[in-house]
Amino acid sequence: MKVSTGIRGLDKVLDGGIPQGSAVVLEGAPGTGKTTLGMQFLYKGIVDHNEPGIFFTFEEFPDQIYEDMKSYGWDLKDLERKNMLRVIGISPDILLEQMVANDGLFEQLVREIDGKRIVIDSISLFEYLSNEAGEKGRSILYTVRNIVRKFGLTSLFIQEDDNLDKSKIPFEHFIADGVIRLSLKEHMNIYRKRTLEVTKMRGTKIKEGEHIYQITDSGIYLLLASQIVTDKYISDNNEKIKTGIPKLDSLLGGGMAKGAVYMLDTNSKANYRHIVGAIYAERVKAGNRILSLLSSTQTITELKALMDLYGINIDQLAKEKRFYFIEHYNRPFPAGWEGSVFQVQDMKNEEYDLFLREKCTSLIKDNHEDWFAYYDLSTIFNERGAEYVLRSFAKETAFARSVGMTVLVLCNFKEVGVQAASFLERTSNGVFKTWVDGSYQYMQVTKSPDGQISKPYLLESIDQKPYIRLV
Amino acid sequence: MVKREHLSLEMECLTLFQSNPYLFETIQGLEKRLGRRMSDLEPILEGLTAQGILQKTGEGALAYFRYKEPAVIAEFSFTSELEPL
Ligand SMILES: Nc1ncnc2c1ncn2[C@@H]1O[C@H](COP(=O)(O)OP(=O)(O)O)[C@@H](O)[C@H]1O
Ligand SMILES: [Mg+2]
Repeated sequence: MKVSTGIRGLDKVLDGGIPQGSAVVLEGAPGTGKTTLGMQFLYKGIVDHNEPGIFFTFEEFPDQIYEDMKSYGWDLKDLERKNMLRVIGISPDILLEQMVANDGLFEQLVREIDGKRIVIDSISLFEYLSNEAGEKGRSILYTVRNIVRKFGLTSLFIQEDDNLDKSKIPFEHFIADGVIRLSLKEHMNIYRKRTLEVTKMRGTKIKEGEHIYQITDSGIYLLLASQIVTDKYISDNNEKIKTGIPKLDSLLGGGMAKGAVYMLDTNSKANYRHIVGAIYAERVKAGNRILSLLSSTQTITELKALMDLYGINIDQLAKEKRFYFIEHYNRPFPAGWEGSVFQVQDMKNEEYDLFLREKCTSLIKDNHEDWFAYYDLSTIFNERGAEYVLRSFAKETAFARSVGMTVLVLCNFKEVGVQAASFLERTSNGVFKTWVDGSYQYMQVTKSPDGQISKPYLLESIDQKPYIRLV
Repeated sequence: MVKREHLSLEMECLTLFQSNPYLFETIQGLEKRLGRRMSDLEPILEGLTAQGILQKTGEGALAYFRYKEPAVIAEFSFTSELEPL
């Protein structure tokens, strides 16, 4: 029988979960999320599987843990009132004594709530229980493991990283039925990567490798290192909107989700021209109608040159009413484009709002084809103000979703400030980030509708379409 | 003065056990957790035990204290002892 860990990705790594009754060591440096993972194991066990749990904390006060775990929306006190959970503050020597004692406190606690899962945070302190070097600490852990097994409890033993000799396999790993290791690594000096690795688990297959995880508002989220997750989404191709950048599509599980709003977060040094060009070209080829908000730097002439590069005749598309433009700068446009360019420079914010709501809505609804929109949000910030953006953006994204129009929004998160950026990030379904560091440009998927994120990739120029590649 | 200090340490212990109903701790453990001397803690914990607020289990160094069921002390009021802010 397998016990779900409360983390979907980890259950997959463990081929279903931890074999019931196992004692598993969970190790990592401070701040890697051990306490969070341990509590998530208990919390989800209670909420999703009706399995009561006990958390033993040697260093932290229980009330600190109640408080910390609120950050994930977990109301631990409520579960204690329902006799499903206990957060026990105790010294290691007392716990040990009460575990060994006949009808001791440990047995009483397990019986009182019919406990199925326990977490001990952390077993590192058992080591200090003896005066003799090492030996005693080891035999203590052995005793503890036998006792929790006797009660049939599935347990996590948290172990603080000791920075000791890494070439030797620690004694705990021999005693435990399983070992889960959390690490925090520097990645290219610009990004810290959290990884989880299962190095041992008796009685189950494991997916080897370092799997990336994130600590989110709802606890630990694990992404599998293998292709498995990606492959599953790729089979779902009809719902996916290709970007024309193969690696990006694969990171997105096949492409952008139809009707979703994606943010491309750039900094001023980053060149995003080819990203945008590749996506436009791909969308045109797929037969989409396109609505494009022109920026102050991107003129029609410039866009025309960019599309030429991808073999797209934008002139033709504009005349056929397949490519529409929203223009804020009153710049000239080629003859024959009259019906395709909306000049909005003289519109006040209310009028502009009305224009989007009426003119654009009927345009999109009257043409029962798939639409793709490119929206340069910096232009709206500059021309209409931050307040307008914050007020209208959520409405606009909801509208796009309702008509199934996929949207790429260009924005510079640094420039718009932390608050606006976090609002925009929350409102978008997905976020791609591109930035320059030293002489390299990077790109990373930091948010996507199915929860997948990527590591940062180098963005390399190539001399064929789509002229860029993620490596 | 002596009494005031005594009261504040008593308050500290009381609040600690109230907000941590599942804290099971020895005097030595509390010394570490609270950063207070064992010799100061001992009479207070014994006092709270005698009043029925805490429960003491075991003897000697391994004797541990815990908070007793709130229902038992529901009437207990200490707010009058609090110093105004
Ligand atoms: N809602 C949240 N979103 C993201 N990170 C969070 C959230 N709440 C807490 N954290 C971070 O999670 C990290 C892990 O904490 P913790 O589980 O206590 O690690 P450990 O027990 O390994 O020291 C902390 O560094 C904390 O800043
Ligand atoms: Mg911790």
